[in-house]
Amino acid sequence: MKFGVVVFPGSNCDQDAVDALTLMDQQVVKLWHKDHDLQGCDFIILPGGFSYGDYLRTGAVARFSPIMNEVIAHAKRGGYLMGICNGFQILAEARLVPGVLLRNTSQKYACKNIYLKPQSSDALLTAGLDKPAYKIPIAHGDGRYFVDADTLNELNDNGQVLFRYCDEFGNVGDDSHNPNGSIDHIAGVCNLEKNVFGMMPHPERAADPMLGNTDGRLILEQLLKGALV
Amino acid sequence: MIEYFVLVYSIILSLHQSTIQIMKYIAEIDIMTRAEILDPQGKAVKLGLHNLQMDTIDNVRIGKHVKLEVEADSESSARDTVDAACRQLLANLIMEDYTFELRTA
Repeated sequence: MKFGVVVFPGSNCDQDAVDALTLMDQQVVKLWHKDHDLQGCDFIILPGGFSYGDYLRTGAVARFSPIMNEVIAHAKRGGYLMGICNGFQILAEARLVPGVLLRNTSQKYACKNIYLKPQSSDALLTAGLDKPAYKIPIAHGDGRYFVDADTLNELNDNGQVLFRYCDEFGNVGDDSHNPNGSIDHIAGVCNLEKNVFGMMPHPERAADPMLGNTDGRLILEQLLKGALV
Repeated sequence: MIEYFVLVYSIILSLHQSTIQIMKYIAEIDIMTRAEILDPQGKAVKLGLHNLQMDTIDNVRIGKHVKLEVEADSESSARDTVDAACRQLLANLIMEDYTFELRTA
């Protein structure tokens, strides 16, 4: 599978994504946001960072970068697309996944390890994950996922919630394990068609054994199953 | 004969153009997080105000103010442009509402 990592002005996790996928023996190219060519990539990744300085709202300006025309068309055709952190915020602004990401309830930038419990049993990203909890780093100031009550019911009914914040044993529900005040402890969601994935935590930062945590690699390895479908 | 038609045509054209006047308008836009969404910044500022003994103040909410200029041939056309700008980029209607006032520059 050929991966393409889009580089926006202000992206800063693009190289982490490239490194993680390269470690997994995948073909990866960087895609400049001003280009209109996805270079034949099967899977597009919108990386973390601070695209356009987070001006106006996180992801709001990047959503109108030239390459987003092709990225949106790719997703509408059923092509795989994943947004991590700022990438998730861009997906939300582009309405490719439901909801928005608001300022953390704490008003503070949160940079630490948290635990994630996989939720959706039929999304590519989570269906094969069987550990009760995955330790993954977060680094964001605007991660408070929000949707209205009706949309939240739809997300739950359709299995669109990918991850919830939890404790190290996989228990969900305690506010102290939710780093940003997101609704229903949601850390990641996908679209109804389940080909567009968005999540605030950074699996690509926990993929190299040198860094002492490879839980993120277990999550990213799920993406490779997309090549078999 | 041809010169005559060209002259008449150019007079008609200039008369027509003089009726379309491009004006410059200034829009003052307020963008606020929707009432049902928690605004932790407003909540923190309210605490600060209460620390200043201004206990009568409540429901502090913090939003954005955008000022921009727009050229248009009428106020309603300027209003349409500003409205489209708000809907497509300046506000995210899932979490924000917007209002604006328009005046000639």
